[in-house]
Amino acid sequence: MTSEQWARIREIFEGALERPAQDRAAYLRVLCAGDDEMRRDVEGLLASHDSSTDFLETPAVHLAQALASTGAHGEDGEYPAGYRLGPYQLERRIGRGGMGSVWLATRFDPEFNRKVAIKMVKRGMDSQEILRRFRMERQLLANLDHPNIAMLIDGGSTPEGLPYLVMEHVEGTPIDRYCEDRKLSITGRLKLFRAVCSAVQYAHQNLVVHRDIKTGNILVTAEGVPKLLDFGIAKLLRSDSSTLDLAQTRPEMRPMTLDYASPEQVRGEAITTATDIYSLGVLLYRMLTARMPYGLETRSQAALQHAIREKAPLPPSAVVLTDEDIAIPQATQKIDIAVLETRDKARKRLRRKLRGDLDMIVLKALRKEPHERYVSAEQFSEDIRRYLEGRPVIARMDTPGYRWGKFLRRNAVSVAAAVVIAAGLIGTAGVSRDRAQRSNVARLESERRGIESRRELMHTASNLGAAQLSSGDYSAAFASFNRALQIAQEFFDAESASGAKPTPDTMTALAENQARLGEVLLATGAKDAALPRFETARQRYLQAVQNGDTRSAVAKLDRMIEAARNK
Amino acid sequence: MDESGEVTRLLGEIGRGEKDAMNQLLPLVYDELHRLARSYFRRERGEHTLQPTALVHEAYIRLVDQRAPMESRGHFMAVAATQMRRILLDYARKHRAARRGGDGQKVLLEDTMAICEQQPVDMIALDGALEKLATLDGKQAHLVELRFFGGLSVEETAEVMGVSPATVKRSWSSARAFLHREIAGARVPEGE
Repeated sequence: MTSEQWARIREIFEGALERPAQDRAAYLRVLCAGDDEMRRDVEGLLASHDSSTDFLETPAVHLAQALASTGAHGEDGEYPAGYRLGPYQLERRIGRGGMGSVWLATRFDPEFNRKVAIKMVKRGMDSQEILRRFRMERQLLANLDHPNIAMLIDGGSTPEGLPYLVMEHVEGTPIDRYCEDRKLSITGRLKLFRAVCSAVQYAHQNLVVHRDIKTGNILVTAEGVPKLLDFGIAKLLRSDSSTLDLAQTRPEMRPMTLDYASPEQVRGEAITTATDIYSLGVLLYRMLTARMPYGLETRSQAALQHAIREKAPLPPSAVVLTDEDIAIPQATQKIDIAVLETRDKARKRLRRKLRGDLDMIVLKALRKEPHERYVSAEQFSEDIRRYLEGRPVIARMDTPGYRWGKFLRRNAVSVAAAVVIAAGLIGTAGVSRDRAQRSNVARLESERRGIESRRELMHTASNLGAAQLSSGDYSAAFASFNRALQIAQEFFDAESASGAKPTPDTMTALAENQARLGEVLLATGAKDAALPRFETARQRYLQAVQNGDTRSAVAKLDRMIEAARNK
Repeated sequence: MDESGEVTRLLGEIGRGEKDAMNQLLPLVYDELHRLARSYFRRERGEHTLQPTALVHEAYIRLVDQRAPMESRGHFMAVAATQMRRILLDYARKHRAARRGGDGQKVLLEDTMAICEQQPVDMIALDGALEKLATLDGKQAHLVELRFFGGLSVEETAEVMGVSPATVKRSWSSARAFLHREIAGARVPEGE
């Protein structure tokens, strides 16, 4: 039957229903004149209609009491352990997320008694679009064959028609824990990391972007071989690039992988190989320091998102000395404490090792702008090799310090002034309670000849202020933000003096520190003093304009002003 | 953001034609319906009657900010009806898989018969018939989803579909007859 035929049959049928039963035969004879097949169709429908007065009339939901017993098939309609799926027998669920679950399974075959991991999309997630992408990606993944990538073995469909993937099951330890457990040297860690880079490079050459590189997705086997899991699965299971809530592959992982997310992911922009480079940068940061680049910010997702978009991460060498002032993410607390214990003595030596080339290498991978990062995982890996061989690294040739050098030579006078300010700042840094931060400041003093260090100093002061503010030390916080503001003001003056427009970064720094000062004032109850700070900050943000993120900062500020007024 | 804010926001995005919003909404609605369905029946079982309020309405009240525009309600009802169909179909398929080898070809929601004096419905056969109807007239198949799976009244269905109640009634009668004949037709050769 075609839809045109059905439309006609429907019309006649519906017309017949509106007539008294005794008139129907005549009605059909007229309308179906010469088309007996159609007439029989309509008559059949009428018979169906007459014999099924209550058919479908009670909504399914009232028929669905059986649902109450679906528990027999596992929680939420999922499979019970022991369930046989194609040639595989499910053993136990090893991961579960918003969009799917992962099972440990055995192949139902006496010849290969092989353990596999089966990844399934959850019912309800299977829109046509997702299923189409799932099939497409399964093809891509089937072609990935690399010693450091967990292999895709098979795929199939559940009785409900949901696709699933069968992956090599890797027995191993998450890479960061592996490094700590084995107390690997920096060199050992770097070599391990390079193996991860080679896997990522291989995938990129095969047009697969991982999108979810994180310690929990890289397991190191007993033989010391790192294996990258879930290649491309992130994309399969994600309905939207701006949604970072991924299916978890390991139960102990935090549900959100924002920790490894790049600025473009947070902004919901296109995801490219540069995104993986960024996540590799976060991974290396973590492997070297046992910390996250925005350690201070991880208290709330919103703050972390903001930091990923806007804040420069502290160089790895700067964070290994600190502990009290860095908020430790809850889920990783155990690791961090263990790390602190094992590291305590070696800390200073570690800082010396990280400072310089390794700092630059990590920070280059963590650039906000994708094009400023390493162009490939291979280049990233090569730079580490250069470091290991004692050769100059490319990360260093490309630093803001290098680029600012030219600016410095053109503006010798204002730079001299800036150095004086920086020195003065360092002179007063002794008031800080924080031993670690002091040595951080001391480190900056030794490097203060570069503009770059001033920028770092500004961020350090600002971060310190944030820590002080959250611990309720308002006067210290005020002093810290004020220092950061002074440095931002110096940037502003230097840039204005050069005849160029002050950069958005500078304007944002001015705005941010003004707003922070406003927050401190508000926290102490000095609402009248806080409001003008917010207003000034708002003006500065507006001057920074250009990008949408800044506008959202303005909106946020508007809310703060509103809240302050109502307080 | 709490769940109701999230669902309300997604409905708004769907209204503005943002494709990804639907993908995000589906699992939320599915989970809520499933959860609600189970608690609903557990709660009702020992008592006398089922509430006339359909599950989908309850999900709507729970998930959507009641100040959301009317069109959001329509989008929600449509999504929820589709997801309800999936939930029931999943149950039926799983049930059949579990009884594979037995006479488990037909899966009827028969447990409920004590409550509803009605012929049991073979969910899997119904699904096949609905698929067939969808190829002939997508709107009619959608209407069946809203009425049967979503539990919407004629008036509510008319509102969601943007047609008159009379049109819904007519369309419903032919869709129902079609499905009934398809299912009966499929059943005969099997039963012989």
